[in-house]
Amino acid sequence: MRIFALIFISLLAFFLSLNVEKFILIGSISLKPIIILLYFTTLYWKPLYGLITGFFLGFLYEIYLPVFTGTYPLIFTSVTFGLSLIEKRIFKFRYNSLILLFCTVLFVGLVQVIIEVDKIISVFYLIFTHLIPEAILNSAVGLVILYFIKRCKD
Amino acid sequence: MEKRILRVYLLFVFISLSLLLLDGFTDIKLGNKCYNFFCLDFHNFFSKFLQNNDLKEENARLLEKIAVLSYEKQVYNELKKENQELKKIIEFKFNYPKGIIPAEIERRTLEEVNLSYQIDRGASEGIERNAAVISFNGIVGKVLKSGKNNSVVQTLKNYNSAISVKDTRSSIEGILKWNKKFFIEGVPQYADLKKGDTLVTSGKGSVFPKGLPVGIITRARKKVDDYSLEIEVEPFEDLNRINVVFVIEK
Repeated sequence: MRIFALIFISLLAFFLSLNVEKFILIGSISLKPIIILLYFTTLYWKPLYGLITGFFLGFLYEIYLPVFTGTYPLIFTSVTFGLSLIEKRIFKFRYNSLILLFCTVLFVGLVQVIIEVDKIISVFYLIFTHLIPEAILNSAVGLVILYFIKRCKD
Repeated sequence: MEKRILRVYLLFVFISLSLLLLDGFTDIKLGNKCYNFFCLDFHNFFSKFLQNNDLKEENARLLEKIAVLSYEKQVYNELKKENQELKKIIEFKFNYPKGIIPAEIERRTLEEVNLSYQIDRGASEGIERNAAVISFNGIVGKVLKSGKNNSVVQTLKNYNSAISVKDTRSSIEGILKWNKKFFIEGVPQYADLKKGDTLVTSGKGSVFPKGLPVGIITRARKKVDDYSLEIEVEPFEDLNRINVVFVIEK
């Protein structure tokens, strides 16, 4: 049952990610539903689920944004693996743990920018104009989700 | 537990790196193929499916439009034709030195012999008996009867019709008659009439004024039993096809 729920949520996150990223933009920044899903699945559910979800969502993501095949599965699984390594070393139900989500979004965004942008100077420019605001936005959404998770837990 | 995660992670990394290497060093371009299959083909399929109803509606709308346009075109062509005819009539009327009355043919006899017309102008418009009737290209006949509002025209295609004509080249005169074909009567063998000569009215008699175009000689040969020429004529105007005639005021 949980697996089906995970598949459903993954697909939902995937379609949200496709549509939100294309149509709901705040300036040039957008939500990253896949990263948020991977973050919460890995830290608050099971790290293995996060890993598997990351791998398959990476493939799905690549179908719609074709770069070199295997790039996104590698990025997403690496992110979820990294999160799973520190899962037990943090106080994940504290709000300041969301700094991890901030770093995750920033990291994924940085990798994406490095893949897509040729000039290194543009990467530094985009960190301040695009990546950090995007990470803040996603952390804010993560804050809301964490609030509900905490309420459910209590 | 962590070892299990590590194993899964390494497996995924291995698969991802293999795919990356496969994609980087070969021309397979798996990502593009998947993109084409999942996005473009599906998108095209669903687009066609969704657009089907729109296309049907558009087709019906366009068919209706075509029907309306066809009808309008037909009306337009009729008006154009009528306009051209009226233009021709006005031009003809202004260019002609004498007073002429344009008239439309209301009815014509169906038989080929003794062809006559009923026209929509009569004595009230100044049409008198024996007035000459012409058309755009040449002579047509004369007014046989003149009623108040319509008249009867006896055409050249009549056994009783006899018009004095003149060859424009040699000025030789003769009488144009009709007996299932047009011919000139009473021309001696030595007369200089040739195939292709143009004939006009000579002005003799009180009906037709001088110089109205009549027709062209199509055949000229000597008769064996007689001392005259056998001359066949083709009138300029096709008497079975005209719709408008002009009556020359006396």
